[in-house]
Amino acid sequence: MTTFLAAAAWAQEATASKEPVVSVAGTEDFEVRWYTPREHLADFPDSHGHVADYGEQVNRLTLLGSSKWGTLFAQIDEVTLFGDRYFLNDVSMCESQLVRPTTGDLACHTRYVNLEKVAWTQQFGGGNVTLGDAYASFGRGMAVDLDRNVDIDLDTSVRGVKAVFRPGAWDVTVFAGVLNRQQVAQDNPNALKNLAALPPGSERPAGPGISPDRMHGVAGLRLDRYGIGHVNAGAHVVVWDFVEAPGLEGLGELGSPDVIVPGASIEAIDVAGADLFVEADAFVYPTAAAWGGADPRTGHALYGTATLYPGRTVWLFEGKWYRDADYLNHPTGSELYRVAAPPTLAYERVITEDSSAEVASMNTLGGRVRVDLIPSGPALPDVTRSTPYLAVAVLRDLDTGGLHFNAVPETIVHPVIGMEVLSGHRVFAFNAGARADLRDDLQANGMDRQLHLDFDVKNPILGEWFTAISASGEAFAWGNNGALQQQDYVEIESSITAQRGSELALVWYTDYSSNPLVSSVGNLADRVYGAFEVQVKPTDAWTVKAFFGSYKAGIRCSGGQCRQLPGFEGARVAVTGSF
Amino acid sequence: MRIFGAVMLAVALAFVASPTAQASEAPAFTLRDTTGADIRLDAYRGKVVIVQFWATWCGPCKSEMPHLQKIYTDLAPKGVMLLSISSDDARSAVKVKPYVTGQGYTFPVLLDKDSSVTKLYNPQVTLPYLVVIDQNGQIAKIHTGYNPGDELHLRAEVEALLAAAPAATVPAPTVPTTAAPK
Repeated sequence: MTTFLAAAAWAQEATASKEPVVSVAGTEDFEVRWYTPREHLADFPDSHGHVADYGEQVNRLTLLGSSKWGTLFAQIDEVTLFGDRYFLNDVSMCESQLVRPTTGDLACHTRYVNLEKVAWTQQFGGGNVTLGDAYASFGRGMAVDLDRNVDIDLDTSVRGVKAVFRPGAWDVTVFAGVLNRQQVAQDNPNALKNLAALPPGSERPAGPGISPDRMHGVAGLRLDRYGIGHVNAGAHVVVWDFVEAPGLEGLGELGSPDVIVPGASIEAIDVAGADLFVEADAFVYPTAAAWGGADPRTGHALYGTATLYPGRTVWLFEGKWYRDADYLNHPTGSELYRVAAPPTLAYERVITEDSSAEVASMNTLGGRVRVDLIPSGPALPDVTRSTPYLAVAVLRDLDTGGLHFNAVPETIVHPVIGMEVLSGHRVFAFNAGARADLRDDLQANGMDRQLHLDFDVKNPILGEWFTAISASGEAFAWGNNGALQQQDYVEIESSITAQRGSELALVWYTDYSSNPLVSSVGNLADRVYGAFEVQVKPTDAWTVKAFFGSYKAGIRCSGGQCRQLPGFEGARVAVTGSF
Repeated sequence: MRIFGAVMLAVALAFVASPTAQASEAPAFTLRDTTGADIRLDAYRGKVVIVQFWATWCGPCKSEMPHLQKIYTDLAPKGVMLLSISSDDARSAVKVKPYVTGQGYTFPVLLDKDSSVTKLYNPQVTLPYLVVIDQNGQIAKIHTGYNPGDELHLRAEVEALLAAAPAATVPAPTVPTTAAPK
């Protein structure tokens, strides 16, 4: 009866009000691709050429319902592999690469559908409460930084409860739940093929494709006080509880915290023309879970910035000292994501297999200064505005374990210059730098050296047509790495675009790599990759893309996380949009 | 197969519905700006609000911003508000204020370090991303990406909304709703 009355009241309200009671919006991202990688299994009895050909269809649907009772958000991902076959003794065989969980195993098909994210949020006053999936980030991200990283398609949320209260000048943020990693990779193959690693004649492994998630526990509390004169201050504590067993089985392991991170930050805004920020965190390890069984030590992370605005310049100073703090990220390393990340001070666009170690260093100390020369007045379309900058980072990396190629500590020196020019619809921007990783035994083992350049140029040509050219390249030379010695290399990525307004874009991509660590093979030549893409926008909200060709594999770092991305050769069609 | 079919049906419906379905309620939000001041979307009910999502690492976003500054300067007295939301995460949030200050932008820039608002408006995290909200708090238009000339369409849409339901002519309320450190 109560339900009936509530429904009646709801219906009455809907009739009385012309505004919709519930409004629904959403986004859709649908893609079909056919892989034809140039991989052949040595000595494998295959007479049909492309042994590893297969198709992949990926769909991501998000829905958002809004009403006075809050918003309900859901993200549903679906992936299907098809045509996933190989030939054994000239007999066509099927295989399934999406292993568990799966909704069905059909002939040469595997499909997986997952409710990746679901959240109900209600606003009250200036605050809000969320049940379900929410992101969490405190301070500069050193204690907790769970977010969506679009660049490399990582999305880890806290599935539980999160609330933000804003009484007066205070912010109180509290959350608790288990980690929920996005399972389906939208832009990358969900089937991991590693044929070259198989010995001749061996049976193909089933997977790994999508592996079961582990539901690590996390809870956090942060208090912020704004407007104490020019000062904002905050303090937090985050408790991590990592589990071993996948899925719901892991919940039974919760209850004994593995890492506790108390921390505090203070920010002063516009004090004598400067902005200041300092954060300090301690990393306490009650168990050895994050240390792989070794005796844990208490770690710390310090990070500070000072920004000054004298005359027509902006000076940004950053400093950090990070010791035994990154163990926090070890338990999720096998699941390819990090739960917290400090600012790196590194130019992430050119991070390599070796220099990525600095991102995840256990023991690093350093600073960076950047100065921008700025014109006067606001940036406006009819004013040509050039902002050159110079940045220099100096880092002392004392960690020689993990991903590090160097056996002794090193000092990293990395100057970068750049400029951004905006003039109406014309754009020119570039960044160029040189990095040297100077080992302490410089005479014996030398240094890693890197030169890099990237630029973007956009120029109107006729009517609504314009061109855009983007390119980035780097040359890397290794020091002496003994048994781990790698080959020096050059890598270039570029795109040339001819575009008519928003409606039509024609893009040509060219990649080059002489890096032997890159696992893909080019389609134009062994080291050269080419691809063509047409992008059409039939309405404001929808875009259709068709791609044919190849791009290279490689490491890509973004937001303090790095991921080895596989190369691609084949064709794909994508439809994205909102409604 | 049923689930797969349902997903495909949703795609088809989305296409059919897309021309009119953008008239949905703009989700409420509150964020801190670069000085720590509280900015609430519902404080601007009665105005046309342009919400821009951008990031310091996004080149097209930076190309778009001088044009947004021009629209803001011209139309703020007529009842237009521009809220620029930085999608930079906690680690790169330090870059936002120096960039905005260096470029001399005068509109409020809000920090969404944990993507709480981005998730509601722009779950694909396409950048730049513009949402035009009418005087009644309904989403009137969404723009993804930026290409030369897009600003002309944006201005026309905003002016059409102003003409349809003129808002009170008041200066752009850049003053925060709670005391800001200054």
